[in-house]
Amino acid sequence: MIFLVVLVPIAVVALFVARSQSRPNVPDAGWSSPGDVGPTFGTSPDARRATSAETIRAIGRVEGRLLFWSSWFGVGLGFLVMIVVVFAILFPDDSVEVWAEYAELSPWFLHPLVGMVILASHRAATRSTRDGTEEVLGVCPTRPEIRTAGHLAASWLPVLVSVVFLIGFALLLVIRSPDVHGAFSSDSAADFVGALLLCVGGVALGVALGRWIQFALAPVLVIVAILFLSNGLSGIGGNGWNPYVQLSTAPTIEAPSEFADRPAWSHALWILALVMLVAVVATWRHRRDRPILLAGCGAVALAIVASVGVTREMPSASAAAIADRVARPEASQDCVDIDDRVDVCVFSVHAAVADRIAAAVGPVVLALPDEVGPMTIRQVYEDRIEKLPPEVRRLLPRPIPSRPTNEIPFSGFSTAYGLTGQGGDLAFTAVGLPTRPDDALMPLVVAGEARGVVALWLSVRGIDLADQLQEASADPRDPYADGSQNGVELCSVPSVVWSRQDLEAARAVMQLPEATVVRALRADWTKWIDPATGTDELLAHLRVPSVGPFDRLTPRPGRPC
Amino acid sequence: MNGNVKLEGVTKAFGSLVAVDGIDVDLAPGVTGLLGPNGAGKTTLMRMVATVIAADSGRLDVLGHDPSTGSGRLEIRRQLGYLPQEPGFHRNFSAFDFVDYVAILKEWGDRSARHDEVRRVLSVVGLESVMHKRIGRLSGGMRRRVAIAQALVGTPRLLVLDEPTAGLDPEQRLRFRELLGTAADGATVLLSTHQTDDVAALCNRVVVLLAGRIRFVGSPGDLAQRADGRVWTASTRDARAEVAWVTGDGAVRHIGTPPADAQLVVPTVEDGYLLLAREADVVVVGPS
Repeated sequence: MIFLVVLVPIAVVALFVARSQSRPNVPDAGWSSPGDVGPTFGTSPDARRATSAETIRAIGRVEGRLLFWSSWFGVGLGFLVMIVVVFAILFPDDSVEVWAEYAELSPWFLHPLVGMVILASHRAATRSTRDGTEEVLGVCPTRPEIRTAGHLAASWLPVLVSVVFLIGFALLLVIRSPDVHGAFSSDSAADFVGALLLCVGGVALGVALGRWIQFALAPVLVIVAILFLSNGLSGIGGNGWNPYVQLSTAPTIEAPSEFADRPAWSHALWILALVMLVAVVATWRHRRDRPILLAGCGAVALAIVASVGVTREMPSASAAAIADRVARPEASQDCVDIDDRVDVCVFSVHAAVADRIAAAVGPVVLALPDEVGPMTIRQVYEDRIEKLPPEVRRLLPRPIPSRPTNEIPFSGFSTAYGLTGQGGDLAFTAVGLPTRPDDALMPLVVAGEARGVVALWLSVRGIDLADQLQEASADPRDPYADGSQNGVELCSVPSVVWSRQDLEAARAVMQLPEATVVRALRADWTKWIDPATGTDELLAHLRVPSVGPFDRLTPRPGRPC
Repeated sequence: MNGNVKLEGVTKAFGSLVAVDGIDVDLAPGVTGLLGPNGAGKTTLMRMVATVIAADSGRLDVLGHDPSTGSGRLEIRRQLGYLPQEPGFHRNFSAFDFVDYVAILKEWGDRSARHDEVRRVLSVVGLESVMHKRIGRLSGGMRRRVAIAQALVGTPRLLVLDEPTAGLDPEQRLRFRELLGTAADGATVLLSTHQTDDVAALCNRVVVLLAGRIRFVGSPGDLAQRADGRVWTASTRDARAEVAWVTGDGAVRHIGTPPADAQLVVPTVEDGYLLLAREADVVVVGPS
């Protein structure tokens, strides 16, 4: 599917270009005149001579229009369409969780377009040389550096297209993914500014390359070099904290916003400095005087200041707040109560989504016996401590207090029902099954154990029977998943592995009236969650035919994420 | 402001090849034709006048400005229309877009006035009906007219046209001649061509360049007159002629020292030019 989504826009552009190239020639327009009137030299209308700024604007308008119709820009638009289709239409729940993250990701979304803009701008800047018009254009009174500035002014087009894209993408997310929550902040504004500056930078880089290197593959080589450089920056520090990632044009998201204080405005300034520097390099080709030199020095100075800004330690107050959220999340969270037994607690920025999590988890809570609880589903920092900046790590208590056993931690947001949602984690915890593989990344085998079937049944409360049955079906693509589940895997290993017979038993139980199963579970809860109680015993109690004998499964360790 | 183009001792070399060798000429307003064989230095001379390249030595004064200075070049370019020998085109541009682009670079800031001017010059060369077609789809003659049109933008006081009639069919050449004939008073037109009949029909002054040096400056009539009494026709080739060729009616036209019984004919500009080309050591400078 994704393959098609990638190919279709490129194919459409290719067809468009091929069609435009294959149009027939225009019949010759004769240069004839009536017998009594011949062509006359005439005189031009009076017109004021344009200022440099007016000429730059005029060139910018024309070059922007030409950029829009260029093949490379068309491919860039195709990538934007592909991103919208994949992340806003096909898989809206997998793209972003909070609006601040959407802003953070905006440079990523625009990078394919920016890459194509570099290629298109290089072709625009080398057009006159390539087509042999430089001799005509070069003797016009407009100076070369003004022409360069005009080319740079064409960046209005990718900026406009990007604004339309980002607004359209966001609107589609509003429609398609109601779980996206939170609010934009001043950092979000910096993220958007930085993303749009990248578009200007794409034009500037293409023009600068065109002014200095006519070679057609030069921009391709530069783009590849930038990719390697970005990867190199992202790889500094291994899997630990890496302040230099902010020097990348599209920094990876190191931590959710509640555990980070990104130097967003410094990053925007850094991008601005890079854009200025590239623009100066483009202009320097034809104009080498003090103002341009000063502009270059200013850009370098800004780059130095901004690079210090993006790699420096965060303010101590921010570090303290983050350390507190890591060590004592309950101190800064809002909670929603479910049936006086289960609390859903999230950091305040996510308050809007707590009710939706509670709604998803509610049917599971109501199906649990009264003796289960109280429990708390709590948002916590679940990543490695080494990924936090040192100024935060220094403030953390050692060792970090362990969380209460009746707490169900989660980090990523999902209001999905079933195994993939917080309801699944609640059901597993209530039954006494792990929600994550152990430290050796080894799953727990529950083949033939009644508690495994109970956990499956509880997990899917509140959803349609067809979806319930789907949840209790093995992934046919993975033999190891014969007794496993979609959605419960962490990296390459699930937390729990069932046998095929257990899944069959779970599907049979799901088809019973819910009240019947609830009554049976409440009547003897301790027995049904005892590992010694077999699946066939539970089925017999519910008057469902036996499914044994059960496959003997050997657990297989996973690999680190 | 001086409307002349004046060159004094202008030299231009490319490596060891001296393309223009110490040229002195003063071109007054009007149409000046530049004649010469391939490699004579015509294009180099025109490119220097059009500020495309700089002279190695000597002094140029173009419309009262020195093209060796930045400000001088700027002022010249503001009054210049230039058609290079091979102008090149952006095939994906329409004729209108291309000329409009040139107009922008010629400092036409007001879009409405600029578009009016672009339509006007395209209309002058008879391309108004195809102005929005892509140049890549136009015939060679139409492309040449687009190139002529861009040179006309802004009614320049100095038009430098390098082989402007190349690629034009006979009717189009006729129209071009008519067009140049209406050039604004005071405008200086410098055109190079291999078509001596174009020179005869268009120019009030002709400059003949041979091996980078000026061999003749004068009117087309003066150039033709140079061959007066030295052109004759006969039924067979005469070995004493410096040049001889068979004409369309089967007669053989000769240039050189005629025999006593030769049937002399009225010389043309072409005869004068061919005779001059055979007398390379002769320098004739007539009134300019």
